[in-house]
Amino acid sequence: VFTPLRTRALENGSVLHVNDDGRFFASDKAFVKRSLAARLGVNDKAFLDTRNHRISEEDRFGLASFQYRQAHRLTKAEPLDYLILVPTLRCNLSCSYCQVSRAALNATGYDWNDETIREVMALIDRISSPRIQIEFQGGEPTLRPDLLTEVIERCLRFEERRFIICSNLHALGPAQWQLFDRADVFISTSLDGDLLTHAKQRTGADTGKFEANLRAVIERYGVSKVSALPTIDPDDPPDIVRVIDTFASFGLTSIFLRSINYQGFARKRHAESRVLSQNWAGYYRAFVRELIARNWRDRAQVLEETYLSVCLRRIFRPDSQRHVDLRNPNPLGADYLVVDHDGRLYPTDEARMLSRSGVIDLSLGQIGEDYRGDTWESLNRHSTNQFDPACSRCAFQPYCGRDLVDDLARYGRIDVPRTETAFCQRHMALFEFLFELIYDEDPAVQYSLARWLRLDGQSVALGEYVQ
Amino acid sequence: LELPKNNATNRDAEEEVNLCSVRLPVAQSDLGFAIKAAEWMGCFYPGSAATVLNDHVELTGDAGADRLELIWCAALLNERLHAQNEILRRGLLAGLTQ
Repeated sequence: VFTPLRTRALENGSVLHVNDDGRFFASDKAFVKRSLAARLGVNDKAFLDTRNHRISEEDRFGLASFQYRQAHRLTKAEPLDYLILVPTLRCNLSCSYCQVSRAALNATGYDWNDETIREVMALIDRISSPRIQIEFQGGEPTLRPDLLTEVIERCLRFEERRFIICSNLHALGPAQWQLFDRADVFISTSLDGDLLTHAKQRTGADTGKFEANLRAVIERYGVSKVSALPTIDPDDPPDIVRVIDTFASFGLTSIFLRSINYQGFARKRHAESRVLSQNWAGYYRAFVRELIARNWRDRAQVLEETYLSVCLRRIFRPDSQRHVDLRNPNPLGADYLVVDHDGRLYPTDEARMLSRSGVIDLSLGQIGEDYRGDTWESLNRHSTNQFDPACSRCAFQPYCGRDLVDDLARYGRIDVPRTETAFCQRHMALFEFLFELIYDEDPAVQYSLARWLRLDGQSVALGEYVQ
Repeated sequence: LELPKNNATNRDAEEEVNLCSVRLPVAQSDLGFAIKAAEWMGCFYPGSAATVLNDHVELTGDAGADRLELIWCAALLNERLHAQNEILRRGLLAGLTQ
């Protein structure tokens, strides 16, 4: 009998059993002992059989059905339809942790030259998909509204278009507003927790200008046009309630809690940043618990931690999203590409940072050239978590992903034992926390989970329990 | 695996981190799985460790005795399922990814 389950003892005293196809149940210790002693009862077997957790090896239909469900968990790289474009590296701010990805406001040689512009347009013209998503990164991309407009106009042939401008919202003039007025343009900005922390880490005395611009953007277009991401210093995190209050005061309901990701020399100066601190884990859990309490108190607004919701949907709705930071396999240089200010191509934005900081050159080549060369081949050969000895024993494997670039950034290599990597430890803790919540009977917890799954908040049983 | 007898002792009750130790029997037929489970236990459950000695396993960790026993049972079952299903799992996956 084929039993494609992996087990993990949870902190709440139960044992989680996860099928390779992602479906799961929890049990008490007695069930595990019965399994170990080959003394499963009639009810136990009936439960496992009816949920396809046990499949006869002669049952070809059952095995095919299992494969079908498993296939839904695997990423099939679509053709290229997502570009991250860096039209300029220049920026009008000088934030404490952003050194490798910016150049001075008046520096020369940090914007696309004519040849790069031509090749970017040619790349867009070659995209065969009926839809396109473009994220403008920098530097501060709004310093070149002319280039943004040129790219957007080149994309008018696509049936579905979405442009995200990642901006510090520091200086908005008529040209920037004209871009933002487009219905297919969205804005992603940074809001480092509360405004005091934002001032300390980013905008200093000019914070009032940023605040006024963020409010003006939201008033003009509504919150659905804007996302804001906080970058948190785990050693000096801002007060949780103040962070949530700040976001809620702008009407922003999705908070992507990110720990500072030091790159290059900054990482060398902050060697401890290779390891996620216990401080961060504690802060993160307390933050989510506060969101849950708040959602229960005030049902008018549902606040979420963005990445926890991504992970939750990886468990229950694997087909519902396309989050390129958490998928398996994680094909690089396939469905999305980064074009830097100098026309170099990268598989991810982090790869661009790594190359700029001199850690390792992960450039796939120059725009206009065939980028599927040795680097592309090497990266993609190792882009799955499927056959790793640790991952193949991990109950969370069906939900998890693979991040080669993060391993290279932190350790300079990709063969560090998986459970010793920050990516693994972070995700093991996240999924452990999620299953703790899934099996928490508190109605406040169940309400938030349902809403984060985009359900209506009515009580639903998210997990079965066997004893 | 015989059903274990709980043999927990708090060795260092006065220390900041209370290290707990549990000794459980291991059936001969489970010895190979137990050795592997012990190797992986610290990776998946930081703060806990297992040493297999002939017919028993010695578990130590900063969790309580009940938790250590639960971890061991889950780890041993996981290792057994991993070994028993590995070939078919790989075959089915290869069929999908080709």
